[in-house]
Amino acid sequence: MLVVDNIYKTFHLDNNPENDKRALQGVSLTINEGDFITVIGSNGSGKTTLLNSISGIYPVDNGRILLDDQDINKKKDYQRAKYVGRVFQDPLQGTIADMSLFENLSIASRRGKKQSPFRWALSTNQRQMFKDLLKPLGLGLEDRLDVPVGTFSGGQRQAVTLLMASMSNPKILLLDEHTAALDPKTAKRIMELTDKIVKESKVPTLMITHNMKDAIKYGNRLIMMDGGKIIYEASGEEKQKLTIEDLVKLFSSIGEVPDSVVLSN
Amino acid sequence: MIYVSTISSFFINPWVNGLILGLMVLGVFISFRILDIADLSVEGIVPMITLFTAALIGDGLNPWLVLFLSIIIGAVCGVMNALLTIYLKTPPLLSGIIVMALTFGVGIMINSLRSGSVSFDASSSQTVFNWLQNALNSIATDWDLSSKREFMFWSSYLSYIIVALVILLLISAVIYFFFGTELGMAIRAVGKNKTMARANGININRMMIIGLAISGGLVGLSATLYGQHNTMGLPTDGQGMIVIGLSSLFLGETIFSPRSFKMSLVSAIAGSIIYWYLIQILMLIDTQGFMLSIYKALLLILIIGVQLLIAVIKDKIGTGGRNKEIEPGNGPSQTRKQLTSMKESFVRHCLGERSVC
Repeated sequence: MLVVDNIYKTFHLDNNPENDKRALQGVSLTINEGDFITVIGSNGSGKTTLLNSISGIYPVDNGRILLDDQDINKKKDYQRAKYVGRVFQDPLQGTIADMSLFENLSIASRRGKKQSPFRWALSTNQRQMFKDLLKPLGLGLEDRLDVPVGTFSGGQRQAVTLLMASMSNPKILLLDEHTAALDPKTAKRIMELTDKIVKESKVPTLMITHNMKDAIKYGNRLIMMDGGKIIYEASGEEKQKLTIEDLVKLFSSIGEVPDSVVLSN
Repeated sequence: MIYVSTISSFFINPWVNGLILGLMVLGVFISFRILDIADLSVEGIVPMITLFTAALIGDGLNPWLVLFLSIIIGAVCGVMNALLTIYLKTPPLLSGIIVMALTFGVGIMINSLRSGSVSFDASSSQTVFNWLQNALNSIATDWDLSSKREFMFWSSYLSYIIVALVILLLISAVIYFFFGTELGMAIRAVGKNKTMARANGININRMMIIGLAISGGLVGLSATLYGQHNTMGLPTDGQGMIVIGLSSLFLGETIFSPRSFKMSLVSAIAGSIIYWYLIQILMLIDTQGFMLSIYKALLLILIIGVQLLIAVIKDKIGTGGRNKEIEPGNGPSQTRKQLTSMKESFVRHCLGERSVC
């Protein structure tokens, strides 16, 4: 269980306090086992800052982040990587283009595990294990383990990143618009894959999306952010009944209709 | 005899220089290609270590101990370089320049303490090379060879090449295996994609320290061999070293376009030897030697240009698709990045239907 307890984060762009960017202004959120939360909100509403705060890219100014009752705010992102799986918007970010699929997966498989630095990194056991993991994706990647990831398409790379992020049983999965850079068809497949992985592993998940359909369709909870705060939350029954029109109304009530909402209609 | 020595120096000197400085090229390969840091500290570490080496060898210290100390000192310089970047947040380029200035200063200090002339007598001092030369010579004496004089002439070259080659092969094997281990792979990951590395729990600061330490150690090793070969140290020994290192590296990559880590190491070393042949040819044109630095810089520009040209041509005709992304090779990273998108669309096109995801 992850508890975000009243966190604040301000970015100081220059020495002038007027230009400070107050990205998070008192966000509280409890993410329970089995939760799949979709996060929506216009640009600059603090969605990504929330995810980055949880993953530890920067410490928050105020408030606490508790993972299983342990305050992890002091921990650096690579120390939190043991518990936190991340997939980024840019398909190029999550994997190393110059390294083979095998090498990429092998790096991910050691996340949070005890290190034995001088052991040969690639083993036959692992190869078989990765093949078994890749097969259910249905992309034929199990036969391309020795191919550099750079030759894969964006969708394939996102699928691999998703697999890597969920591989070593993280306690939370953070997806930052991970389908936004893909074409609609591929985005749909990655979304279905995401849903499958989340359902099977029951890993608590926080997913930012600009696609209102996805936000409604997937997950059991939905939160909407604006001005660094959570302004709306729906779960269970209430979320099931949500329609795109409801969300558009919500957006217009705060004076904004994101393009993606308009476009997805 | 003069005729023989001119010919032999033309054909053998590049091997000696190429093998000895090949270790430095491997150091540059690790900092520049694996860690993606342009580390200029080489220019300062080399003269410091050659002066240090020449001074201590002259004092009669065991050459292998000097060699060991040089590796340690080089590694410490690498660590210092990394620490500057990590804790003082200086850009890596600036950290390298600071370490360069510092190590160069230490070199100047050694030079001044020894009244401006740091050298040793090759016939009376022990180096890592001349024990072999002595052994070869004693064999020649024992066998009472008729062509003893010529044999003794060749034995010096032979000892340089054998010792440098053995050390280089040994070090290359260690590097190859090291970068295949879990730790080595983590270091490679940091140089390639810091976001991915952090997301996968890799401490990028620690990896940078280890990586630059290895790079510095290699430069130290190369410099001490260079000093022991030259039988002296000069404050100008490091001049143009980074140009030599990068030229050799790029030259090897241009010729061999390595697709695996193993081939990257081989191409770096081969590039170093070929580079010194080119320099040897340029020295025929420039007999007085005062144009050589200019030629070296122009040669580097030429190599980079050719590399870019090859990359563009390969991309145009579509055969470059396979090896563009693989392993450290393939030109200045900027070029690579520009070409990545072109290549990805090409690959997607080739895969057709199968690339729906």
